[in-house]
Amino acid sequence: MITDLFGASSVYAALKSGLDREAVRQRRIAHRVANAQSVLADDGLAAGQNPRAAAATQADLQQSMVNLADTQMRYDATSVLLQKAYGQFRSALKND
Amino acid sequence: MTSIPPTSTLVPPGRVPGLFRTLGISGSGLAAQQARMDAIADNIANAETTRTAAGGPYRRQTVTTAPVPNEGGVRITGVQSDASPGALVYDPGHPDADANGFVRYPNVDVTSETVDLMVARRVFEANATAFEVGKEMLRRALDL
Repeated sequence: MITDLFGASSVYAALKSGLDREAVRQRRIAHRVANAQSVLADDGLAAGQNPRAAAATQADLQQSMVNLADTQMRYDATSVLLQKAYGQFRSALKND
Repeated sequence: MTSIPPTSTLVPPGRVPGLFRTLGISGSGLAAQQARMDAIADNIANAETTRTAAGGPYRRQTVTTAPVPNEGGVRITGVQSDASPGALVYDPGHPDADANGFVRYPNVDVTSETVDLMVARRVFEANATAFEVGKEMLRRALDL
């Protein structure tokens, strides 16, 4: 009975999977930012030698930073919702 | 001349526990950019070095990096020497001048190095921000 409350279709499970999804997204963005100049090296170009390639790095970085801010906001919002959901459950347990 | 380790030693991505992997990824990015900035500083410091232990003028150094496939992050694959010839300047009074009075200078363009330094600095800052966001998210998770 109690396990059903935390089952796969519960709001807790949905919020937890949301947190996991955002954490994975953050990890991917961090990987992309860490390799911002690796792509140039793979193409045989060094930053500064090719202005177009350097501009592409900058654009990619800007987009990554926007995605990073978005991910953080989503993660924060989801964690607040999960906190509230747990809080409501705790209140329900207290009110017998 | 600064010696740069062939692989990133600050935060080995393969040894970072799962929960803190995101910090390891950003840490490896910080280390890669630090190595890049070291190489650029080395290039600027030796922009006019016409004699090295290996013989001939100093050659521009560049750091190459590659993604770490499964763990995520970046690793330094090596430090390459730029083989292109430097400027030949007529300066008969120079101790390293050849028989015709020409001196071969390093192939370092200080302006390009400064631009590269600015890019490396920006990417370093982006990695630091990603690290900070990852840390904040972990803190949030611990507050639940």
